[in-house]
Amino acid sequence: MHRTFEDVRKVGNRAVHEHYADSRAALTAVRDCFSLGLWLHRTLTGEREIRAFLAPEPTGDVADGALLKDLDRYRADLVAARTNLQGKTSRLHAEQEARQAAEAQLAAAAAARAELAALVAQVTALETDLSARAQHPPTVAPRRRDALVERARRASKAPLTELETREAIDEMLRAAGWVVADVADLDLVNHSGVAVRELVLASGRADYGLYVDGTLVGVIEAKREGTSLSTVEVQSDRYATGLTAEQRMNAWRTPLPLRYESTGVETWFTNALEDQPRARQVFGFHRPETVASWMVQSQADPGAPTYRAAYRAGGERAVQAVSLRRDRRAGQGESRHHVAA
Amino acid sequence: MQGDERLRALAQRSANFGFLLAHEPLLVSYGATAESCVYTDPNAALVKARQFGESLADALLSGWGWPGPGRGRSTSSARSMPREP
Repeated sequence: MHRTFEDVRKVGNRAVHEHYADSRAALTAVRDCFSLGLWLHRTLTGEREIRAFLAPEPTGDVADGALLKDLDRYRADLVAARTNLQGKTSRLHAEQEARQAAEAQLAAAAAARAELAALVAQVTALETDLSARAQHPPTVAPRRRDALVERARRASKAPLTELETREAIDEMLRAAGWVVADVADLDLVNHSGVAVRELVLASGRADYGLYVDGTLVGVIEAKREGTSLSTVEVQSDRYATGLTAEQRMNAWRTPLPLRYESTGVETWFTNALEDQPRARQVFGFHRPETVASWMVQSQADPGAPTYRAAYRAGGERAVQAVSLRRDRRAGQGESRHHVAA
Repeated sequence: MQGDERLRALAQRSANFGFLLAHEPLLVSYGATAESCVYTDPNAALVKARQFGESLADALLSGWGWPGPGRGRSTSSARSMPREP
């Protein structure tokens, strides 16, 4: 944010003192102003809604190649921000819709340009009056100010778009040892843990289906940052029960026991193997081998309590017993995942 | 006031700066003005953008109590903005 302020200040100074004039620099400065304004808005309101810069379109032909490239980039950003993957049949379709919406928005802005210019001319005359009114007395309590500073820090990092969220989740899955694949190039034979994007179920579409050793065990629901994850939980529940006939053949258990909800920043996990399942926050996805060991344990002894259930029933000693038994079975202890599980 | 009406009309039509009306009306005016003359008068657009930056920094420092150098030093107020983490 500081750098954006500096950029606007420096290029503005050049304009004042050297009468510097360049449309590309002006467009960049306006875009910087938009970013600063959005940052202020997010700082003051705590809002995390995604807003994209709507670049003014040039009226005549543009010879400046760099300017055209900038305009293309702003258009691409606008499309990315408008891409809404929820409830769409495919990503391509969602992107097409976003592109149409962005084009309509740009066309509407171009059509309203003359009207806007007239209004600008009227309002500019009011600026002296406005700046006289803008002198607020500084009456802010230190506590509120600290909260504001904290929010400003958070606001300098923009919320992820849905496409960025998917990228973040893909990255998290790979880091946990999963192979991320599209349905078309699904290979369940050569990999132990496979996360399949956009898995079509009987009751809708799951953002990711999780296969361990060829068996469908869970789903991941991706959500845009800022959405409340508790409603997603209900949705994941729906996905976890409504499978197609073929998926039921492949499923380890129905309903699918493992359900994740993730924004790419925050991830919640529900394990239906527990006697009283409830969602809890986890720092990442569990590794496929960890899930595989749960499956082995659960099959060997369906009544065996999970780590959490044992903890609730018998306290620390019972947990140690479960933990030891798991370590012996798995051959090597993965204590980190015992904590997360 | 009639001016407020015009300002509100401008804010409604400005996709990039309209949402700032509730925080500081001056920002809507500076931002929309800069935007409107990017191609016709880039120099004026740059000057307006600079005014936007200064006005935003000023508003933060005086109105919302941002910890900075204090009032009446608008040219240096941008320096007290948070740096990139």
